[in-house]
Amino acid sequence: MAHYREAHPLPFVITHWVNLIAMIILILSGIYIHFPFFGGFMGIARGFHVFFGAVLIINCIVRIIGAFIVKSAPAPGTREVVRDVWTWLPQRDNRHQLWAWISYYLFLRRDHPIAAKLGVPQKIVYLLIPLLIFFTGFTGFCLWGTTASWPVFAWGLEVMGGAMKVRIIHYFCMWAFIVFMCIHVYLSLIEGASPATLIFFWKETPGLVYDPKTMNIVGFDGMGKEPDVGETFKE
Amino acid sequence: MARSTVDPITRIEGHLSIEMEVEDGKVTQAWASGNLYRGLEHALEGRTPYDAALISQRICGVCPVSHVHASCLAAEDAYGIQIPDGARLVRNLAEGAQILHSTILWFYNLTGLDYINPLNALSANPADAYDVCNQYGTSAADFGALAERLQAFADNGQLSIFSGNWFDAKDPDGSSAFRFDPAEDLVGTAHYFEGLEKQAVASQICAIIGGKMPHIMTSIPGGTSFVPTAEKLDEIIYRIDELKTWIESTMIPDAYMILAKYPNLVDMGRGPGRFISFGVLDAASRELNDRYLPAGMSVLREDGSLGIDYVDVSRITEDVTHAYYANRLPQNPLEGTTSPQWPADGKNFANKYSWCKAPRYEGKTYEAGGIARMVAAYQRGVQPVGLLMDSALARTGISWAQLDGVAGRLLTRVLEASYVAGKMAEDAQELVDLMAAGEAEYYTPATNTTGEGVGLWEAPRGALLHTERVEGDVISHYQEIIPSTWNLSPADGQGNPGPLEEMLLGTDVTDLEKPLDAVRIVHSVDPCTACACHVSEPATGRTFGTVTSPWGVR
Amino acid sequence: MAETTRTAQGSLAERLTANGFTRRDFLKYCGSLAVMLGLTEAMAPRVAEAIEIGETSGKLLPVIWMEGGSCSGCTEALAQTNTPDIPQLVLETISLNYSETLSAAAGHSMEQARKDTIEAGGYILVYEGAVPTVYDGNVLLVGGEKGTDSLAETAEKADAVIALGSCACDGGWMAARPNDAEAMGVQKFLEERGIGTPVVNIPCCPANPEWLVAVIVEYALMGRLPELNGKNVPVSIGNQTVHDNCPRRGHFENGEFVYRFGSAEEAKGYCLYPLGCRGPQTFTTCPITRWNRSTSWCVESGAPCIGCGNIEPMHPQRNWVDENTPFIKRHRDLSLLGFHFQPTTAALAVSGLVVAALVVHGVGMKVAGRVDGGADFEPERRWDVKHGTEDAHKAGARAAALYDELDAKGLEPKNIDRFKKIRAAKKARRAQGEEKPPANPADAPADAAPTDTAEKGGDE
Repeated sequence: MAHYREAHPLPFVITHWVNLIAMIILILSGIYIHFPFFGGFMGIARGFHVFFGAVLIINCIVRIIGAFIVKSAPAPGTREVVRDVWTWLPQRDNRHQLWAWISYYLFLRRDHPIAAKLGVPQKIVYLLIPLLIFFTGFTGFCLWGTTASWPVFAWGLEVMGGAMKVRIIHYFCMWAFIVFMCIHVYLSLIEGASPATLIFFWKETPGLVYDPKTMNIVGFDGMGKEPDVGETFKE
Repeated sequence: MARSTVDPITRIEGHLSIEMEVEDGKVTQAWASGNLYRGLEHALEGRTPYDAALISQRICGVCPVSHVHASCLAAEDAYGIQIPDGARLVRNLAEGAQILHSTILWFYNLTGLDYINPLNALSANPADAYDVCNQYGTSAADFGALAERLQAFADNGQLSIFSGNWFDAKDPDGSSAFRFDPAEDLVGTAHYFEGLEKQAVASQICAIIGGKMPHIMTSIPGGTSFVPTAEKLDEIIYRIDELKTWIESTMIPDAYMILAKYPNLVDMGRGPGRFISFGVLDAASRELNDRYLPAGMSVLREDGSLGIDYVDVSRITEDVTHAYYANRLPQNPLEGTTSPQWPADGKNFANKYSWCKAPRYEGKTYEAGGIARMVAAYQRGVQPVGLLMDSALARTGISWAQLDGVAGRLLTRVLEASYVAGKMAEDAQELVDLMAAGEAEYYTPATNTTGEGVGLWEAPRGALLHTERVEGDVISHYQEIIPSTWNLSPADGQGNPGPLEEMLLGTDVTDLEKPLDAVRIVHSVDPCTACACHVSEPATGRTFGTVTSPWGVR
Repeated sequence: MAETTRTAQGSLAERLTANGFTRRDFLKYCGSLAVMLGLTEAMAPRVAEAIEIGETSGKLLPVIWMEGGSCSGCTEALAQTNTPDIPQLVLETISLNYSETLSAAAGHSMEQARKDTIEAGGYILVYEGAVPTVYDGNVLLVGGEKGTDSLAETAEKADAVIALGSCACDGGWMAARPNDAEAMGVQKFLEERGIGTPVVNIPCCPANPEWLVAVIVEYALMGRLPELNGKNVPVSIGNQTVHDNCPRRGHFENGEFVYRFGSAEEAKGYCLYPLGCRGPQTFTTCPITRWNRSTSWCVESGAPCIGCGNIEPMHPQRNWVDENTPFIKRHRDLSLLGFHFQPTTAALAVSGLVVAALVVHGVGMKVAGRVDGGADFEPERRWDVKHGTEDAHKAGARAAALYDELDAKGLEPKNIDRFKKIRAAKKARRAQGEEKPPANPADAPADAAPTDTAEKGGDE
């Protein structure tokens, strides 16, 4: 597929960067707080951890609000845009495709499912990630001395079985992020770097053209360097 | 023939009851029942030796320091390490402080009220109390203020901790069983309260070293996490001096006062005359027989001669014929397999009647406690103990053959406290020298994480054994033999009664409702049943209704 | 116990003077008492008044002290307090009518004292130790009765029950796996028996005696229980962590840690966090109250907190031992199928499996020829082939024709290939450059083209 900027509008390129930086700092500072392998940084690590925890949560909220405001393409290979939130939720374009995706990844089928912007497993995971961010944040605030005694967080401590268990749950959440990042990076790079160059550097690449109306491939956009075939989205 | 029951026995640690068959005012048979089961060792399996040291001391709030040290010794044996001298001295100070604390608390606050009647002190003339002090060489206090305080208390009408005591109990000859005159009771009561104060001072030494007492926190496998500073040592040494002076000027004279007024204690509660001591307070050599209070299996013979033998743990067996555990032959506890089992017929003296198992050495009962340590120390030639014992026996006229009665137990333990205080002062000085030379070290890391270890030690109330098997720094098997099980054990399969049951035989019980002498005997061995009743092996005959979750059982 | 009007020995003030106390000393004591009760020091005169009224009205608060599955450590701990000390407490503040460790009486007389006190009512029950329930309660027998029954009987008529120490709060170590004795805390036990007497939980192993005394004195003097938090622990004790008040907190923030017992850092009194200190998740005021007459406390003596004050009254399985072992590690162990392991072990195992699966998958993708942009697209969704509309089938046919056309033109819609071309071009240019730099652009026009394409790809 061609990768057009419409798939990832600039605000979302920024939120993606913020996510990446915040998560890396959170993981590094979190590991340090869990066990300070070397001395000297506890106050700094905790300050960073709390700050970037807040950044991650606020960024997540901004991203969600953005989904209702900003328009983005429902699939790669098209410059047509819809409210971003529709591309996040189950789409007409890839109804009935969960098993198609799973069997594709399990090598049970040879050809690539026709994709909307996000594959079905991807979509499910992206819906869960905000929940994971909020839940991890919640456990974090249950543990942070400053907020632990607020009724809602005190309630959280009680429900989850005390500070030690919340600490471990929080810790496992970090590993869930790490596992997610491994899979996410793997899946987005294994079939080529184009999606990565788009989300990080907002750089477009030639490829097949998709028509959201018929929900199928209609052409090839060579972006001026290779011959175009069929329909394209040239302005 | 009639039954006399004391349940619960108070002023002890834990839950104990005794029941006695009485004929013509004398006990003909007795049963001692430990009435609580908690199951500590199972809780230690699957945890690390460090955890075990800190948890296992919580089996007993009176002698936690002994348990943590026995557990550490077992772990260090398994780890194959020896702790540095600095750690040895710190541990000795904590252990010694606990001995002082425990002895003072027992002497005044647990067994003391068997002899002192605070209510009788109400009619005392405070001036006479000073004469009593002069007579026995014991220390004086503000007797006037105390008398007023007692009067105010009595006038209030609520007896608080004195509620329902047997202060009206009678001796067989019809005289009051409490033999102190009012002035002596006033002195005794003053010292009862002073004792509460001084045992707290002794505990403060443990607290300085271990953070708090009971349940100190710094004695760990490999040494101690307490790093003494000049400031802390200062506080310790000052308290040792205070306690040593007080023990010598107050507690020992008070013991003589009790023995003078209660000569019947000499022949009361005579035990088997066989004593077991594992030794306590390590010397630089770390040898059991070289400890400040050395190990030894001692015997007091009828002819007044003494004997001592080495301790051989493999000769210990535990019998469960009359304990609430599944029947099996007596086994060495190191390899024993037992499981708790509540009998279908409940508590039944013909069958099972105690949660306490019956340890025997070569099939015989042995008495444990301060008296066992002092007899062993005397025979191993510990000079200060020799001097103390010789002069005390000369002064009281008690012979060696008579030492295994209530009087002997009272006497040996207060003398032991004085000796221990002296050794603590020496150890503190040695620690100061070590620190001054810059050679003080307190921790040795483990060199291996798999092994088997035995820790032999003494709690204030007797010989204590912890043993553990460690695999990859995780305990797969943990076992304890507790001091009070030696003394409080039920009868064994051969029909031999436990030492306490034997001590009670022939005791005067004038009033079935108030068998005061029997209670005096029980208190003289300072029972500690919370830790005496426990399980020593993974239960093989019982499955626990457990649902496993990542957070643990149920 | 019958109420007795005391024939007081003059006023409290006179008796204080007789004992060598000045009024000033007394007010000072009341001041510290006020602070302990969570009042301001300005309340001292009111407290003094309350004590003096209590003195003249002449009734001590009756207290029954029962021991369950206990080690007597909490009683021992009480014997270490001095504000007030034991004589003051048992002679002048409360009437301790039943205590297995302190009472002078024994046997049936003791049990009688307990029953009398229950009948008279208006007493406080202090319960020390866990409530062991296995074998229908036969594991604990006192006075011939099951300990569980005695507890229920005594608690029912009490004004309040003080569950003293972690064992009484939630079973403590006795409830630790495998919990042979099926131990639980007082609050849970009473709830199961349907007894509604208020329970005050005082945590730690042993319970800090100062906390107990504060609760008893507050009740004796003011006739009220302290404000409790969600775990029925007085808020003045249980709402801040050890970490919050730790004197070594500065070292924690500075990142100055003890990593090994016996190290130079330990001698410096650095923070014990890497040795598993549970201060950050233990809700008690140990560093403030301290122990043994404020002599010291665990961390001050060099020992990491092991979290003995962590209680969960309604959940014996969340006892502090299971929640905190191994003490030396930052996390507790998890248990699954009889194995006990650290969360990190589990996390690394799962993550390792995932990474290994990805590597294997990656190899599979390479073998299947999918790494260079994925497999070819299906012309029409499989589901549409079966269920689709006429339009969907038409779109599918168009796409199939398109793929044929692309193949015919040799157009490669895949991305990886483009990178390969770029890399090859760069390599060629470099090789050319070493030999004959000026000739470079002319020599490799075909190779350079895709590079330009890639660069211009984003220009639109």
